[in-house]
Amino acid sequence: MVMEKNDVLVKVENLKKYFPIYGGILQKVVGYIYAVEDASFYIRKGETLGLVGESGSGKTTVGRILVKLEEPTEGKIFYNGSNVTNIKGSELKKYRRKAQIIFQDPYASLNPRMTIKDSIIEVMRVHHLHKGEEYNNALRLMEKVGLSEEHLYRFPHELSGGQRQRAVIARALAVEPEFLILDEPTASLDVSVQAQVLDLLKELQEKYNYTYLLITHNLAVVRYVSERTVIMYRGMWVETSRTKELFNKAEHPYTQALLKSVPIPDPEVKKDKFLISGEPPNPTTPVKGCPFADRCPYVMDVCKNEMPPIENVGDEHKVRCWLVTRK
Amino acid sequence: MSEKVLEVKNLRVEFYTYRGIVKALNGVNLDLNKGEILGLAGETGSGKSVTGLSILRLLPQNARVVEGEIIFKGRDLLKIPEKEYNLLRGKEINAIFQDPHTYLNPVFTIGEQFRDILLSKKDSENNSSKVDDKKIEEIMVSALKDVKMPAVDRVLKMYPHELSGGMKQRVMLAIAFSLQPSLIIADEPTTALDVTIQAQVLEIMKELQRKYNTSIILITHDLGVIAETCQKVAVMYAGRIVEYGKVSDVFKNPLHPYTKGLMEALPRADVDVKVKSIPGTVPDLVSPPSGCAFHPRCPYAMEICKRQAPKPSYVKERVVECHLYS
Amino acid sequence: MKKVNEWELKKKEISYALWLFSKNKLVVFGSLIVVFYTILAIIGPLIVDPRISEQVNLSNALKPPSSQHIFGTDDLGRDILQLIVLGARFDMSISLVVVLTATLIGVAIGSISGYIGGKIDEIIMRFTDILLAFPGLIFAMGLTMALGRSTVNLFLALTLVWWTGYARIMRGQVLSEKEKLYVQAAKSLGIPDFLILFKHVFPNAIYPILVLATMDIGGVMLSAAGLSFIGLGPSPFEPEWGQLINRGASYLFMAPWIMFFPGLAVLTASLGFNLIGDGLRDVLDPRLRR
Repeated sequence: MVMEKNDVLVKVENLKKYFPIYGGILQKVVGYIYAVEDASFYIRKGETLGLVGESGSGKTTVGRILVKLEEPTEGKIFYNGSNVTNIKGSELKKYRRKAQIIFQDPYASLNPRMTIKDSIIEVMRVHHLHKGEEYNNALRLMEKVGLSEEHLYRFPHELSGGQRQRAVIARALAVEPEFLILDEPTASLDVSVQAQVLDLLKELQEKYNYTYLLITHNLAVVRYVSERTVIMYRGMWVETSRTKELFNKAEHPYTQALLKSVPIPDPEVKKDKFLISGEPPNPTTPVKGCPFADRCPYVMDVCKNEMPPIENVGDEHKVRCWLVTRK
Repeated sequence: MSEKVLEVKNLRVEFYTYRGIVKALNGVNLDLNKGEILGLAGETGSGKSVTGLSILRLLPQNARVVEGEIIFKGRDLLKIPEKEYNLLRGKEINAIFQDPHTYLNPVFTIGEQFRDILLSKKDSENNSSKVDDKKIEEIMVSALKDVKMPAVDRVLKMYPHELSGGMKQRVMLAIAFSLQPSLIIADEPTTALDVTIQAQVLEIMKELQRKYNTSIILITHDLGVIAETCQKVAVMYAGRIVEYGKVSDVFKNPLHPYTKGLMEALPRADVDVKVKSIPGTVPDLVSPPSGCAFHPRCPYAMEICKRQAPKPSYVKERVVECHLYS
Repeated sequence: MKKVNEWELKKKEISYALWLFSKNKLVVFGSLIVVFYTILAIIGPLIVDPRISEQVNLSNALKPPSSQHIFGTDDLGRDILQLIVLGARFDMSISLVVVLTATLIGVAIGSISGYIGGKIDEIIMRFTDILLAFPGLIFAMGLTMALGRSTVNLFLALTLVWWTGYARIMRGQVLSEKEKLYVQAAKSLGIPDFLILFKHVFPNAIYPILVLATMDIGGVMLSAAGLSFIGLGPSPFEPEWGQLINRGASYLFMAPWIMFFPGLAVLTASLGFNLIGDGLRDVLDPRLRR
């Protein structure tokens, strides 16, 4: 727990993102995909925040908005105190040096026809970093992520999954960022390699005080890596807390369902079945009331009509649920 | 009543690629009893999918079964002619795959495809060209009800893209169980699904298995899924089964260093653990390491491990391939 | 720390590609044909006196193939074999030049259209739609008739017809590459748009075009021959294969060899290019991505 560096580095307020759907001959807007309805959270410097959700939660879109691959429809983003929601041009370029994203699929995020060396050096050149010393810096980056010089000369398809992910991390580190968004960083990796990459990320954070936003649906990884967690459902955050407390005292029915659905690799642990029915949402209609209402086993009338207010239920523990409010 | 449904003996499969010969399976032995769910666990390159494909006789063109037998109800599946095997497909042996897109044809409705499949099976059974339409309708509806599909009549008229991932997998389950086969090979059936949907689908699968007493081989890399679904587990590495036994035993007390390593490398959602990764990467199957394929990564490696591949040792009801136990 | 030689690696890649290429017998056959005609195109005028194309020797006219004239003679008494050798230069060069120019124009316009998108994309695409609406050969005919009969105009007409196809394909390729994750990653790393287009999207998008262009060389050759055949090519004395076929048509039953052998030349040359294009497709796509 980082106590002395208590400043908030990243703050997201009521982020909304609607994607227009075009149709007809004249390509008019016929509808929207309500990908993100309300994403609000903060991350302290040197901290890891887990952003958890299933399909339709909007978590990946939030990540993309934070690296400015998408513009938010509404809402604000603050980085180190300044409002970066609508920056462009040279300001944007400066921001891109601070915030980087590691995508889920390391093979797809590397240009298949460029060697790792070229990919990394290109980044340095674009930002005019380490002029004249690019190769040596690339070597240093390789070392940082646990790869060797020969890997610089490989093409992405000549590396294993774990090596590729490390190469992607090395490339992201080439801009010397402070804030890394990790979008399912271990989802496409083998189990034995997952731990390697997770440990690498933890190590880098300890050494260089990186701030992480970990986007994933894997609760085990969240528990292992993040200090605090936000649970999202259908584009809205429903619960947030310090990770330990969230896992032990989840208040929101969706969080409870998630936790109970995770298969535990221990046959002696008996779980009470908490199967929720229904499907993950298809966000083509705007949210009315609580987004989880149509699947919640404790649903009440008010849930269908009104958005539940935010309740503080513990130290840094907030929930949005009528059941909790009514208690 | 443990009557053996499937026996795989010393299965060796090779792939001919431009890089060389890939020894995908290097002597696989396993047994499956009636009504049992066996988990086949492993990572990339372990050979778990190849094992499943061999049993289903769905290996790609460049694969060769070099040695081995797959005995199913007294017959060697590898030796019987294709026509004879096709009589078994769907009715005795069926499969569920990870990606419903490869299974469901996007231009036909669910009902049309299901009917086609059943028609092709029914024909061969009665050996007559006249097929009972009503009976097929009954089977389809009953199968979809089995998997708790809502609005069965509507679903039958829908196209695959109109269904969510979870519903498509349920359709797969429905089709797979519809003719009550004795053996189902499930290859990563829930890997692509959301956690809450995965739980639903696994629950349905377990229910159907109980109902029809089907024997299932569940192939997955997710040890959590195996722990919650299977009775027995076979851990594969580099084309061999390195540990085999009851799920409760293996998980509580893993014997093989690789199994141990896997368990220790898993972060857990229910408890705080110290995660330890296995150093190195999975071996290149074109030129695997000498002796025991795991020795370069094994913390207990001895001299003999580099020279000689270990033979299976029997520790109570467990089978382990490791020099530590021979 | 061993320094890995980049040249060594490049050589390894190329030799692997060549090896893969050579495994397909048909492709090797096609390459040999193309090499043969290329050599012919280069040394043609050196081994055969170009002036023979203007020499009329009516006493020697319409002689069937013999030991003296292996492919026979045409209505002007010119040796067909010699004419074919001379004509190689013309046909090969016009096909290559047309395809090259059309590819350059098409790829440039297609990339810009695809990458920028929006209104510009719409305008460009509607424009190509209009051009594509004309049947190619008829359009080329129209152009040559309007501009007059000459080699340059033949080249212009064919190029104008051909570029639209490449533009459309390139646009489609760029559109799909644009959405790929490595492009998104490059954007998020701060790499500017034009760099992304040239260094990332372009090399990945161009491969189908390369295959198509190679095969089109044969197609253009046939079209050029066709246009010449109907009288829209260069001067009637030019030893261009299409011209020869044209002359041969009038004597089809009397002296079929006048039409036959030049026709064979056009056929085999374009076949050679087609086979290479085929092989390129196999080599460039899945296998190189080991």
